[in-house]
Amino acid sequence: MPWSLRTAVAVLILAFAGLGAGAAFNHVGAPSGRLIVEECRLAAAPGGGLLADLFGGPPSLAIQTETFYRPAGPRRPLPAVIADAGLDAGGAAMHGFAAIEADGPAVDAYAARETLGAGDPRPLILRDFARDYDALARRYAETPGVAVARAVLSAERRDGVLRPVVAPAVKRPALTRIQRAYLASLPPREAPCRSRFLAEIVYGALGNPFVAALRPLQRVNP
Amino acid sequence: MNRDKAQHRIEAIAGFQEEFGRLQGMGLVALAPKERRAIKAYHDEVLADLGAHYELDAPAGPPAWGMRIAAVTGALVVAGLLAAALDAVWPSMALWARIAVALAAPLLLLALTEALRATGRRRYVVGLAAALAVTAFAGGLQAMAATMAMPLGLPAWLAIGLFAAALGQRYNLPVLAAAGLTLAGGVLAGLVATADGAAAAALFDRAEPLLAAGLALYLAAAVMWTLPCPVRPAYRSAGLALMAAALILLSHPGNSLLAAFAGVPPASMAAIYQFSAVIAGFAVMSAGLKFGWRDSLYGGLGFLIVFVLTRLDAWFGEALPDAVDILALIAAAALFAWLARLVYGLETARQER
Repeated sequence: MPWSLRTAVAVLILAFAGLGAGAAFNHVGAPSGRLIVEECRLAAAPGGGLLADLFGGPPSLAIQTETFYRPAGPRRPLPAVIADAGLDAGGAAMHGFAAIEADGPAVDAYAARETLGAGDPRPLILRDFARDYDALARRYAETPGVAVARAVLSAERRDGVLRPVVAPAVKRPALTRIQRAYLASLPPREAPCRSRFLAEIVYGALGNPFVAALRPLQRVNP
Repeated sequence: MNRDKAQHRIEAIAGFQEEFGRLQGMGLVALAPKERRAIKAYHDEVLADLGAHYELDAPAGPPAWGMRIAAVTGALVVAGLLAAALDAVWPSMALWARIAVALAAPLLLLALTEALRATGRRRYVVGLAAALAVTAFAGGLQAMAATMAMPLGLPAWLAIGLFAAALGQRYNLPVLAAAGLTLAGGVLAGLVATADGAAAAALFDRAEPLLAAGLALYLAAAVMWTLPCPVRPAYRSAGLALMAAALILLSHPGNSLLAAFAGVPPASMAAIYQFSAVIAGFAVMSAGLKFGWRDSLYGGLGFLIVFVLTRLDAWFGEALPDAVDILALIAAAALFAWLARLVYGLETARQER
């Protein structure tokens, strides 16, 4: 076999092996957090086919987040956070990790600021960002309802003020075949939304999300 | 001469023309246009003579463009239908089945490409299968990344570039090899430029690694001069493309990593790169003219044209009214057409010498 063909086959196998090894480590390594989220706080759509995976079409399930800077411990001024990441001079976005909160003080504060009602779905809140995984994991190790997720930090100017914008690197958690089948079996959501299941979303050792369980909610007819 | 010998002669002429075209493409041999025309006229005369005497047809020439377009369209339709069929069953497939499909698709297309080459199919058919194998590899990686919720980072794009370059090398496909090498070189530069965790877009503000990658690829082609490498022009073209992109970026103040490290004012560093870009463009064209590398000759010319246009736009784009802009563009197009003609004349004169 000529060297060019051997190289092509080796590159192909190594690329898939690297991706698989990363996913396996994310699953079996120590998780960075576990979130219990109601259906209405997630984006869901029937589908999740190959073309949706390839071109970013409607996902079976996706995490919806908002940036709301509320770090644990002493709070640093926003300009210092942005300058640390090199974003004050219009630099490119930075890869790192974010603390994502499903239930806690940051979600409550966001809901109060946005005057969300009791029945309004609350987004998950990205409340902190760091380049270093360990630092963030230590800071939120004892905080329930918070996980450390792989994320991207950028900055945008709003009302003349530079603000950090954090986005999760992966918005669609990995699903098993049974979970996909369960989601596909559900009829379209009602309006206003009434959650039919709780999703247990685990952020793995690499900070990427997968759904550990989908628990149907018991409905009591009025 | 009998009919069999006449047929053999016709095939020998076709074989000579095909092989000579390949050697010319690799830059290993260059005939003056006058000599090429003389050989072609002689062969046409021989073929007409043999055809008339023995009622033989000349072997089929290169396939028509209509045939090529039909083949590409057919392959795309078949690939689209397969993707649509997979799309329907994808949600109900288990993880192991998805992995099997993602891995098998590029491997099967690679085997098909190898079989097409072994059975002596035309190069564009082999190239089509190789391009589909690269597409299937990229699609398979993306589908697996989405399934396993893993972000597809720069290393994955490096793998795709290397895969394309290796197939281009294997099947003597300079365009595929150049595309793969450009992607791989650009990603390697991106990995260096974003070592501090910045997103890939940071490469535009720190273009020196791109320049280094381009220079390395261009020089690699020169070092490989004595090695049997059928896609050597692809290395030069990829190197030139990366260098051109880097020099155009670096000519804008603020896009240099070196300026920040060396403490040089951004405008001064940009001026140094502008001067370097002009020198590099003419150096590449000179090398192309001297060694008969058409890719370098016309690639260098193309680079200089784009470079001058971007500079004119940066310097005067906002100051001039739109009508003057359009007139300047027309004048520039005429000037560059004249330059291209001049370069072609120089190339022809050199070949005739």
